[in-house]
Amino acid sequence: MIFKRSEKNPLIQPADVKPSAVGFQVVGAFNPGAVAFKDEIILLLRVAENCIHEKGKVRVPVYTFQEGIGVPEVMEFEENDPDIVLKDTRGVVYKGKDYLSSLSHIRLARSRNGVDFIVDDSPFIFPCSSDEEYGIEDARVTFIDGRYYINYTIVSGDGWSTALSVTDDFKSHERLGVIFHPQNKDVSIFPEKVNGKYIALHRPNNDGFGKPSIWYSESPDLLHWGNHKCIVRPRPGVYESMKVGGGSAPLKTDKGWLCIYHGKGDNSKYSLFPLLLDLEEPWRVIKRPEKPVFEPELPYETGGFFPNVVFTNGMVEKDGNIYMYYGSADETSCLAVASVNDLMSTFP
Amino acid sequence: MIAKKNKQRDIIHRWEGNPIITLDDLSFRCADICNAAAVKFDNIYLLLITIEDLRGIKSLYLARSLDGYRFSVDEKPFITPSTAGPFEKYEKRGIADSKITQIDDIFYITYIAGSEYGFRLALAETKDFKKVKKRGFISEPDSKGGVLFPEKINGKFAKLEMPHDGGRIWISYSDDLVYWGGYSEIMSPRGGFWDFHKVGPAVPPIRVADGRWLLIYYGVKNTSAGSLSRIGVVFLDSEDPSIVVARTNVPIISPREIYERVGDVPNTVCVCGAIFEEDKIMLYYGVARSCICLGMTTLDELVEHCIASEKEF
Repeated sequence: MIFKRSEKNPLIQPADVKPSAVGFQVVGAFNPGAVAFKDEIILLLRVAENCIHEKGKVRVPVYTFQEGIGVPEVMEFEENDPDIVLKDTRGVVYKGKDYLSSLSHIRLARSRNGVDFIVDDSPFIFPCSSDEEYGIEDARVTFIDGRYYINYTIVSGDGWSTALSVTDDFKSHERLGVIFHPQNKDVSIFPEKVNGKYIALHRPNNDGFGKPSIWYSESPDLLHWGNHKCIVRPRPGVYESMKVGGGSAPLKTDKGWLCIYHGKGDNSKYSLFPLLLDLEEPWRVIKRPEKPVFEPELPYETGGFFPNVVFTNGMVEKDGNIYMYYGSADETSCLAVASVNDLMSTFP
Repeated sequence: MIAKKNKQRDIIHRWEGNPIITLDDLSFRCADICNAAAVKFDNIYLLLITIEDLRGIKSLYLARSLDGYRFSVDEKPFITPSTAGPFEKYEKRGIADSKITQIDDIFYITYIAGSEYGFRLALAETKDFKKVKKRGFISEPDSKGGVLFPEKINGKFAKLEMPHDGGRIWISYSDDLVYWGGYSEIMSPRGGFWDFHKVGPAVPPIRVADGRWLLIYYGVKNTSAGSLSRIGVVFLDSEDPSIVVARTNVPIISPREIYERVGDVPNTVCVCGAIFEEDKIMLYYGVARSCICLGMTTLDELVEHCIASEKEF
């Protein structure tokens, strides 16, 4: 095994997280962004919440927005209300409007040793406008020129797109706006400029045209993006038969940019692959092994809210090792560690 | 005469000589015609129309006219899908639906490139409608219906587009026409209305006398017999064009005539070009993906209609 799982997995479970409102309950604390900050490792958890069930009622979480602040509330319907249409486990439709059964925001968890985490009591990035009315998901952090840039998926009636924030202290953050329009997520921003431009990988949906793939993009300022190129397409076979998408910020090595991306394959199983991109021309794929380096195996990965999912959007390098934080089964946050050398040896 | 009464239902007055370009007007065989971008250049009315060849691949052809009514279509395309170089990969399934925006002395042509990688907006430029230079792609996949504003907004180029198949209009800005940001959604379909399922920009925005932007857009409503595509109008704020200040409750033109109802893609009117001459607006629209038509109105009529339709409904 290249990656060794932490014996303390899952490191963070829903029960470790306080709900953001009365009547809410936490059902997921997963897909953590990760960053080394001062003498701590900070995880940016995606915290998914639904409403505490009561017999005869249908309850869904909603956010209302007042002057740029999102207020979490419980919306309650009578189960036998003729206007309510139950869709599937993901939500209901009431009088033509969609309500999701769970909504996400971003919460911080902090640790000195990278294993034992304490979760903040209140949210870090919380929906603030109707553009984010269905939540904020899957944060990724990149440290560039002394500042921490955080990109995340925002969800609304118009689907999902990617927005950017910046922080210096992980106490507050400043929103910088939408950087990739719908449908686009899985954005990994590189930690430094290449050929004078910032670089990001992103994953537009391009539904109906082949399968969702990883694209390359450049920017002069992190806010305006262009020169999009499709660089990694899903390959036939069991591991990537549905789609692929990028992970955390790539790690610079002397052989190239090291990325870990996910493939969604047969039976909606997610597995993780290493990928090496050219240092000077990062749109060029140098190495891409046939087989994944990490797959769901243990009960907390093969069971749970959405079984058979391992998904990483946070990795931290320390002393030649990669600490890969990952979400298990859309429910918990876990850790696996590999040495950079071992990981590089997986390339053909 | 019932037929005449029907014509008066629309704010756009159809020219009695419609359709102005059909397959029979071409000197070569092809599958179908749709969507005309329009511009007046050197006292010649130019349309840039989308023609699909018999294989099924679309290219862009110029049509020329001295009076704006009678056009002749070039035998050779003006812009074709690239067959080599960096653009080839993304244009393999053809290029379509051009719109033209003049900024200073350059005519920018936006069009949709199709490939196995999805639909993307592409940008080309010309100064003389003889030579054309492709500048590359200005959107992620999927995106359609891109139009540039004819002037910079707060120092930046601005574009409208319909990202993905979700059917809403978004605005974005750029310093250089290469890198785009500042994305926000400006308008969405209206439940139950004629533009229930999809809205997209149809014609590049025009700044009108009071400073506001006039945007002619298309709206789609899905029916049990397929989708119906019609045209409407919004006015955008003069300072901040991401703000819609007025929107027609009813379309300004809908498919009614037999040639609008019957064709390769029936029940479609799709505007891509308008020429503003003093107070007259000449609207060139593709219908049923089979021919090009001409409709006329005035700015006053559109404004009046916009106000009236808000009161009426």
